[in-house]
Amino acid sequence: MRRRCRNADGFVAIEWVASIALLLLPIVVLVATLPVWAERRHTATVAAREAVRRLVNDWPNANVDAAAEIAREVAADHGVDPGEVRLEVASAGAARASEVRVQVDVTMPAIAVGNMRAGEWHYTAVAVRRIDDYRSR
Amino acid sequence: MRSFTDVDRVRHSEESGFTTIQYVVATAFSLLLFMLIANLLVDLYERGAVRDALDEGVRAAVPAAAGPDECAARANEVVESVAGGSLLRIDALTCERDGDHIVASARISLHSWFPMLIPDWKMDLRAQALQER
Repeated sequence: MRRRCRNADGFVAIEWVASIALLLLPIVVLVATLPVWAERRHTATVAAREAVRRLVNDWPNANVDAAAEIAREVAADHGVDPGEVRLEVASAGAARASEVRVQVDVTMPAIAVGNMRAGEWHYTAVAVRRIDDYRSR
Repeated sequence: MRSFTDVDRVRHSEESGFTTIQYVVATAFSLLLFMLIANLLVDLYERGAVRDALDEGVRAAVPAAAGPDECAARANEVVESVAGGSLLRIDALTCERDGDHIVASARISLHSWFPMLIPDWKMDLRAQALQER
């Protein structure tokens, strides 16, 4: 036992590999991934806001495809692939004083280092706007 | 029989200077990597700040009575308040009407902390919003 303790052959190499694997790599992955999550969360929020504004502006002839196109354009403006954004209109506003509610689902990479992506989860942003009580049709 | 101290002394004399050089080189590279990561984070923050400024700008131009001038003024105000340092250079910031949308565009340069290693990061950013009728 004492001999093993005194023998330091390979100690630095093992220490180096362990520090890279347990400290450096996780930190690099976190540093690269967390900003992507924040950006995409913001993108989904803005896309939902603009899509719901479009639906309310066009009410009562709201066009879901036009709103989805707006959401995709916002995603592209924020550097997110439009194919990773999905719009769902939960309520298009049945009458005056009702609410228009949309959900924008954006794909979040579980790990994103540069162009390397691994795994994914989804974030959903919700935006709601009320149809004006005296809105003309 | 040699004591533990003798063995230790022999070992140290065989590796004299080795750990020190390795330590200095590894530390230098680690600090360089740390600074590069810090540079990347600051750049990402500034990119996000300019995107937010453009979003604020187009939102300022949403009311029917507002227009591109309000958009540009608000976007410049936000950039100055949240990213007014010397690391960000706004080469161009414009707002214009595009159909029923107001569109803000910016061309920016993010200065590299190590110009010898990494060039400045240049990019074009854009935001748009539907104007009220």
